[in-house]
Amino acid sequence: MNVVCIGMNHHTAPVEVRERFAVAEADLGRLAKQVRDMAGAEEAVIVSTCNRVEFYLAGASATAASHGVDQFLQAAFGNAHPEEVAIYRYDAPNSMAHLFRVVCGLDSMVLGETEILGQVKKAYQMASSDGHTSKLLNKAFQKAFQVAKQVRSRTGINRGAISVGSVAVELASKIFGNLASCKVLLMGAGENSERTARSLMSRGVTNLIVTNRSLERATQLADSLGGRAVALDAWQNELSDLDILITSTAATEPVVTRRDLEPSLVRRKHRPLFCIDIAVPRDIAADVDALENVYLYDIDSLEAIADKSLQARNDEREVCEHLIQTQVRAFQDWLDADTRRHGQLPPVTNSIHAST
Amino acid sequence: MLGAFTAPLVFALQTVALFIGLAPVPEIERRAPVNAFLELHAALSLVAYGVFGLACVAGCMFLLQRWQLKKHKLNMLFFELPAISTLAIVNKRLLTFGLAILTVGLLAAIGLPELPEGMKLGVALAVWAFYAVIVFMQFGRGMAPSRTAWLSIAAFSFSLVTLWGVTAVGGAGG
Repeated sequence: MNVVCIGMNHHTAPVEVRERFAVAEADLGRLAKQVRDMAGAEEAVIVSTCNRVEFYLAGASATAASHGVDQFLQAAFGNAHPEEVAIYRYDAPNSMAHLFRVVCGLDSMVLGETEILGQVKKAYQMASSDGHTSKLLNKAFQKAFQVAKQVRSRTGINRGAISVGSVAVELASKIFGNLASCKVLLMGAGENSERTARSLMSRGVTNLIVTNRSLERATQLADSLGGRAVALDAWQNELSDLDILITSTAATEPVVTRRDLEPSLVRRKHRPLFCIDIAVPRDIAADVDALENVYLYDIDSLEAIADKSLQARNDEREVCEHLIQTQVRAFQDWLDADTRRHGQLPPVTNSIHAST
Repeated sequence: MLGAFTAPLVFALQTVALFIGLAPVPEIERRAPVNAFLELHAALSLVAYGVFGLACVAGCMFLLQRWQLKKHKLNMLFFELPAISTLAIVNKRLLTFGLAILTVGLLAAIGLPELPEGMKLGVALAVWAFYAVIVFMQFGRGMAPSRTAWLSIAAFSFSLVTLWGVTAVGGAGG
């Protein structure tokens, strides 16, 4: 009994190769049956995301599974020759270690991201509901989900934001709590401010105002974000109940100064103001940060926080690996005991090396 | 997270209370008189000081979170602490709630057969006045949350020191 993993990901194949082998969600069941037949496997799960296409097979020898998947790839994707791409091939326990790393986000492009866990869960549920999984893959995937939960709760692998937009959202949450009632003003209608605004909107922000030197461009962006536009010389009228100010204009001098904000402080009744300055040169004068209840972050401070979080996640990698190896050994022990119980040979423990 | 911040304060207060409790108390003071107003006064005052203690802890948490946000120093604690706006609201609510309870507690003392002696009464009224000023300064133009936080710490420290002083000078009796 063995669990084999054969696949390609963003480490081994560029996007133009990965997209040729991508499996549509609707085809997952049909193709899982096909790959099972070709590999002579009893169980199969196909995980297909934008960064990876992986086949998890059980009940077939490593060699048969490998040949079967090669045949399947050629049959299913026509002119695609698997020899052209770096396909990795693992059998237990390396296949399990790989699956555990995948669900924990350790093998992801963004280290520690959690979206992959949902994608693998969905792939497993689809294979399971179509009857392509049984004892071994059920145990393997359930163990993987358990490991992912353990890693997330015991380590800081997904802690801290690692992009400018997500850092801004995290800081906003630590200032205001619930962002749904926050009023956001975008000064400058560039791509960066739009991206940051969209990050905030993903956390519930709905009250959005856009101001720009060109009112037409402001209106255009406001319409696309579901907000409203105001003229650049009228932005201070919004200050009394403003919560978040995002600036990214092309101005060479600060467009928001202490003198602009000070008169509104009394009207604001000590309401916090979060200023996100993502412009270079900076749009907000640095001394604004000295004002009570004003929190100013420029692009350098946001990037420094993102870098620090990424570093912290990298530092956690070793702890995660230790947890994963412990769980891989536990799974392997279960597998060996189960194999002995059923009088079969123990699985081959050497990995088939990645072919390129 | 409030629990993690409250635990050291509770530990410190319990330790002090333990040592004070170890001191010999004259036999006459152990025989507490039975009086509904006294019990109401003591119970409500204790609850009020508990609430003020929590306000003090919330104030510390607010100042810590504010410092982290202002200095851009986001350590592990930053992610565990609640939003700064939430802490400001909690601090304000606890102060208001504590003042209301302390007011009722002090009013209950009017029903006692004899009012506490001058110094004890003066200190109790001073503590009440300190908190009343903080709470009433919230109305109108309001007060910066950081100032409220500092004052909630100062007021609680003041109440601890003065009440301990009065108890030490005038004895532990109710």
